[in-house]
Amino acid sequence: MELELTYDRVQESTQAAVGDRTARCNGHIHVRDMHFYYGAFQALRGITLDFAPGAITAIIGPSGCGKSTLLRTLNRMTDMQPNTRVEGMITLDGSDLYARSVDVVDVRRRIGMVFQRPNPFPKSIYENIAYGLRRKGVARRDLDGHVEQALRKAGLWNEVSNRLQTSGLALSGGQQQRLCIARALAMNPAVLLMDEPCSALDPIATLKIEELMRELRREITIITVTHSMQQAGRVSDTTVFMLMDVNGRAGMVVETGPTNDLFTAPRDQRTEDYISGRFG
Amino acid sequence: MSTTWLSVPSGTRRRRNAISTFMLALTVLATLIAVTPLLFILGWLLIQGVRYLNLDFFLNDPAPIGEAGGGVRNGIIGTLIMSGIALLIAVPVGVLTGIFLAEYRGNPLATVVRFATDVLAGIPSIVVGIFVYTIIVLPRWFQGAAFSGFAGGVALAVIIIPILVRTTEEILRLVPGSIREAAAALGVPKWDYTLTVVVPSAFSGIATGIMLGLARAAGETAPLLLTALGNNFYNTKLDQPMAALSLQIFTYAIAPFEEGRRLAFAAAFVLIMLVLLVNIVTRYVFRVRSINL
Ligand SMILES: Nc1ncnc2c1ncn2[C@@H]1O[C@H](COP(=O)(O)OP(=O)(O)OP(=O)(O)O)[C@@H](O)[C@H]1O
Ligand SMILES: [Mg+2]
Repeated sequence: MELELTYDRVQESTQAAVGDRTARCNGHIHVRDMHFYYGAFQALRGITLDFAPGAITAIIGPSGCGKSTLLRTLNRMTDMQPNTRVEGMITLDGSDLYARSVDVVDVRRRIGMVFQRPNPFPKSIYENIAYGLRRKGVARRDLDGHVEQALRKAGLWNEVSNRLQTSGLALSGGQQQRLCIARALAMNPAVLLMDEPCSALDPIATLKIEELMRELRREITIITVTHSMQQAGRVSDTTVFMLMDVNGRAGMVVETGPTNDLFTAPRDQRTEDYISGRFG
Repeated sequence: MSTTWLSVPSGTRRRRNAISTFMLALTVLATLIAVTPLLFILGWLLIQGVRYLNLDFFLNDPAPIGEAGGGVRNGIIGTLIMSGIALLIAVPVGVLTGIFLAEYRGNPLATVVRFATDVLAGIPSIVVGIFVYTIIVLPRWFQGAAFSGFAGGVALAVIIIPILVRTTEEILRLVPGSIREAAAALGVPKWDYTLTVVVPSAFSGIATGIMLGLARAAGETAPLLLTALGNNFYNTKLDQPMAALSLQIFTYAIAPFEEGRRLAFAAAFVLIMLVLLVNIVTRYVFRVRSINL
């Protein structure tokens, strides 16, 4: 009953926050009692989480516990997979992302995503960034400025400024990943989702990305999945530990808290087992 | 000493090597068998065709029956025109259908369309000729004309549509899904990124498919017998019977005089060169222009 009331209220404000293409939102994501299904298989159970603006949240947990799935529900990438179903509620600054009146295009412009493997378009470096801007309706004469700004934010400008017209695929893996980050940042999202962004990169490229994440933290909510607990410890403010249900294999949140606390004084025995390496 | 754990009894090693050599030999043999007819045809055409070729052959229309000389100018023009019509019709239809099949795979309509395309690809080309004869030639549907270059172009289009559909679909499947995800994650609608990211990154492959279609259209004979009919004179009007290289090869080859055989060989040579030329030029153009996947 209470839930339904909130739902109505949320739907009203939805148009204001998500539908208005110019308003910049805070990037506060709220997940409440969310269940997710791939067909008959329940992949996530009862997820309730709060992703605060201006912070980096790391999601850790063993393989198959649903980290990627959780991330992909947050910008509705799961819409692309047939026979999937989301129950419960996910809001961005109080607006329901899955409300019928919401256009998935607006959701994804506000909540950007970087993938595990760098996936630049087979286009020039410039075009990789300009593509999304053009689709968004940025005027041609403003493109150069936006492209430069995005590449600077991603710490790539100095390395590529003299070869913007060469293929994005001609860059190193680390540079490609920063190009992908720049591409996402160019859309000026309030939230950036990163699914193991460094797992295909060498240690030095990894450090560069982590540095970048810390710099971006002030202006953007970052949610990252990582397999490396060192990385979670180095970059994140908050850590979410997930595990599979013993029966049913659905993913659930075991414990969440400030990264330092979670690593030094975990409240749950399973968290302690996992971070001390006695698990998975 | 450090090699001991790597060493295998010499008998085993010899057997492995023998099998390897044997398989290699088999592969080479199979390749030879496959390539020999091709080389034979090309070589024979070259020898027979070039002997009779001269500039007049390209600049003249056929001589009256039994007379020496004459060329295939009208056939070259007719083949170019009708193949052009075929591409104009088949490229939009075939490429768009291929895009639909590749990008909307789960759609129930896609299954039906894919099946229909496969059936169409398997229909003998003479039947396609009869089909077009029935719907365009007999009812004089095109500007009151019976046999016409237009009808010939339509018949060729029907034949190459399934080729374009299949190659486009297959090429698009090679485009990695991660690129689609990247575009979707930027908030670009599916129809939009399909046309602006997916298709352009497969552009050279699609162009190659179109060239395959063109080559096929230029070489078809049977569907033209009942549609374009052929013409001994120079004609570029679409509502008149039209000559084609393939038709000329056919009529000359079965003609009961030596001169006919000579012309048939030369015409076949010209046709193959034409197809080869188009292929090489397009390949060159698209290789330079496209960024590889
Ligand atoms: N498209 C899909 N269809 C059906 N089941 C899926 C699909 N994708 C993932 N799953 C299942 O959902 C569960 C969670 O998968 P997910 O990819 O979210 O795990 P993960 O925590 O990201 O694992 P990893 O650390 O290996 O990336 C797994 O059991 C997986 O098999
Ligand atoms: Mg994953």
